[in-house]
Amino acid sequence: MTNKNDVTVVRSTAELPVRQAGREAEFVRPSTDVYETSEAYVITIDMPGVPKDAVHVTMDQNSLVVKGTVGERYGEKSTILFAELQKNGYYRVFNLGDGIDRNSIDARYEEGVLTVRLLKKEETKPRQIAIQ
Amino acid sequence: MAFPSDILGMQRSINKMFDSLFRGGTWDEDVASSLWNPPVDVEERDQEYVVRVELPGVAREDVNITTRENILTVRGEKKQKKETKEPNYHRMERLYGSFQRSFSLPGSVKNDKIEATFKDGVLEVLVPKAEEAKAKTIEVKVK
Repeated sequence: MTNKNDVTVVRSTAELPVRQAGREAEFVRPSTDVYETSEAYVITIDMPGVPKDAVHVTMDQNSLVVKGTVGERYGEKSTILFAELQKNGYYRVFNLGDGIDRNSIDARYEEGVLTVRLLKKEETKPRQIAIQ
Repeated sequence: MAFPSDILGMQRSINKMFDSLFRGGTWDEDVASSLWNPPVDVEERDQEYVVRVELPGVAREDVNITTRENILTVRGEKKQKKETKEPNYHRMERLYGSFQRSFSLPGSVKNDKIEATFKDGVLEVLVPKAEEAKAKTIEVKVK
């Protein structure tokens, strides 16, 4: 990925900038697809088990940070026979290139999947060049 | 996403080993090659078992739950949704295609009373226990 307009995924949970405490220390890097259309970059992130109000997406000049905490699911007096599901949560940082319009980002969360749409700046969209 | 086939083969044999060791479910060799295994939780409560399967982005109509005695099988398909016909992929880590998980629950269950719901990308299956499987407290008199 050499194009400077790319959305690049550069940091993961293992390299959190600040040491996290408690459950957040156990957050994992969620599986993510990133694809590009002529208009936008679309990031789709699997965050199963996270209630909508526990999904946080923040953005600063250079990065997009996605965080989600898994909701409570077990009964008080139950026995867990099998435990493979993610227990704590998800955390991932995406670096944003210059070609992304910082003012037009939208995020949608449904069925455990977060979709973030980052629109390209007008000047980085592909253009048809007229032949003289 | 293309993985070298030997890695997939290795993953399959490990999955198979785990399945035969811990789950009583049998693994269909012919379809196994194209399947992925979503993570599963099994919780035992007084009256029921709760089976949860991580299936983010899977539509409810693409999931099929079947039972035979106390063996529960969840299978289905995760379809790829994208907004253009020719997206240029930079990264593809999420799993797509057919999945299947089978496991035997420790006690007998009421097969006709099973209910399933989807919550935040997790399928939750409530399997009520049959009368004989519920824990009974027997008081022993000490003479």
